Amino acid sequence: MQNGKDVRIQKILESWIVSLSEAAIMNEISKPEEERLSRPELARRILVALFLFAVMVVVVVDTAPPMLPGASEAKAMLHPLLNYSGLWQGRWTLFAPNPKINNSWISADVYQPDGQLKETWNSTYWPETEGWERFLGFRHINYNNRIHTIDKSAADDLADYLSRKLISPEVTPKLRVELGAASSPTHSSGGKVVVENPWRIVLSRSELNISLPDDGTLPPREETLWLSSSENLTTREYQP
Amino acid sequence: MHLMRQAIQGVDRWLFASCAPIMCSVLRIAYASMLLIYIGMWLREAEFWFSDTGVLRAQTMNQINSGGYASLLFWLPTDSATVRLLLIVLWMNALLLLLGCWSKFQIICIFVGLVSFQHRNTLICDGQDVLVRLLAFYMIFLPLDYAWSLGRKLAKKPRVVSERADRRSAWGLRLIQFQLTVIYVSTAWEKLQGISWRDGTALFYVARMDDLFGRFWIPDFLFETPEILHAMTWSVIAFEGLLPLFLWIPRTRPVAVALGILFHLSIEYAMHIFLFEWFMIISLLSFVGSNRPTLPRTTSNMHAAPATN
Repeated sequence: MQNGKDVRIQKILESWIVSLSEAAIMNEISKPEEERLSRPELARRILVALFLFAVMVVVVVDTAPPMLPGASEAKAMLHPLLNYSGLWQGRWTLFAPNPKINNSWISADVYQPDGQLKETWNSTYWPETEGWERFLGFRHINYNNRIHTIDKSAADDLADYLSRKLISPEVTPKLRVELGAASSPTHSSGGKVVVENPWRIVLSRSELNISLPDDGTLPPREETLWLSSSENLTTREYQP
Repeated sequence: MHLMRQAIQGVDRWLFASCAPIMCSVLRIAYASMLLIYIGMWLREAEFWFSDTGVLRAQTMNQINSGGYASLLFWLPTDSATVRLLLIVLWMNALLLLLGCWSKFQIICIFVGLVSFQHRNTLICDGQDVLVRLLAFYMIFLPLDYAWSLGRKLAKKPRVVSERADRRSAWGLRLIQFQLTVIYVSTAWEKLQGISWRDGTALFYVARMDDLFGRFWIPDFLFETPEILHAMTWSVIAFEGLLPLFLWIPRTRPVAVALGILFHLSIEYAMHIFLFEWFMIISLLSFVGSNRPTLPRTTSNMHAAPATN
């Protein structure tokens, strides 16, 4: 069901299209006969112009700052179609509004069933690598910088991948245990109840950021104070 | 009515008589060359990024995006072999595009492939992936096999349309030019919203992005002397804000294109941002030759001409 605003926009667009098409046709008619375009060519040109106009409008709406009047509504109307078809683009931030220093890496602590730390896996720390390695590993840099910005299930998938590499290819994630239930699953083995402790992976993301002096001056590289911060991405348990 | 007629004639010339069709083939070759590297990098780690035995399952990605993004990889099997096969096909599409074999078909396949792989794992994508994908879409409307086309040569197909008719079909270049304009204007605007860009210190922070910055040697004092730092930061905003204007003025266009290329090469020198700068340079090439004089119109718009390539 279209609302009044949608209908008004539709009517305005329709009237523009009709007026422009009429003007193009009148323009052709007013020319000497030998200069006129053939009918199919004229129709093609009108269609191309309308298509181009439509694409331009869509691009402007998609990239417009949401603070502009009507931009949010127009975006909400267009986005489902653009997203699905792969024609979306959004705003071109490119180090805006402020450059975000990431210098990040991902760590995974792997705990054995007895609670002992088996190993700590670290992803590549890209600032310490050669240029060609960063070219080849560019996707990893993006991944490290983005994984904490979306749903936790993406981090769960990374933990599952690491469990297959670091524990065993056959491990399966343990289903989440509701509060109040037993912390470890039990099963009967030859009539004897055995409590199985799971393997555990604690996944975290760390980054180094600059700490600026109180007076707001920008320190030279050698005097830059780097602060490390970490955040937990997920904790997953696995059964062999 | 007179004004309207003039406007219509202006639009008609702008779309159908002032683009250089040869640039469509230049763009095809440059774009396909970069795409071979771009897809090659995906192919190296196909299983890791795109299969269900990798770091992100298709179901998870689809759930995160609430099913709102289409991808062949959400419908096809999610094993490593399928993903690898699809990427090999996509790489072959890019190779055939480079050679100019049925380029229209190749670029449509490339667009579908890029959408599918980018939607399959959005975590590894950024602005350059958006640009690559949109360029593929706009190139669907270009006469890509206008020149240096192996397909046309093999088919012994003469160029049946005249220079004028080819020029009429190059209107798709306007889409790329418009897209590039929007990118520059949008990023200049977004930068103006940031405190560090406004106070002239943003490039200091960029220079401390140690994972992306510092590809080749740049003296530190450039980013540590406030006057130089401010001048550089504000020049970036001014450049990105004004470049579109100078790109659209025929008289300043050649200089603007050259400065644009220089600007992107300097970023390429300083930063590790994969292929973004090269795709921006390719997009800038769409402006080359766009201000050639309009050919006089005659009634015989279409006539046979022998192949010249």
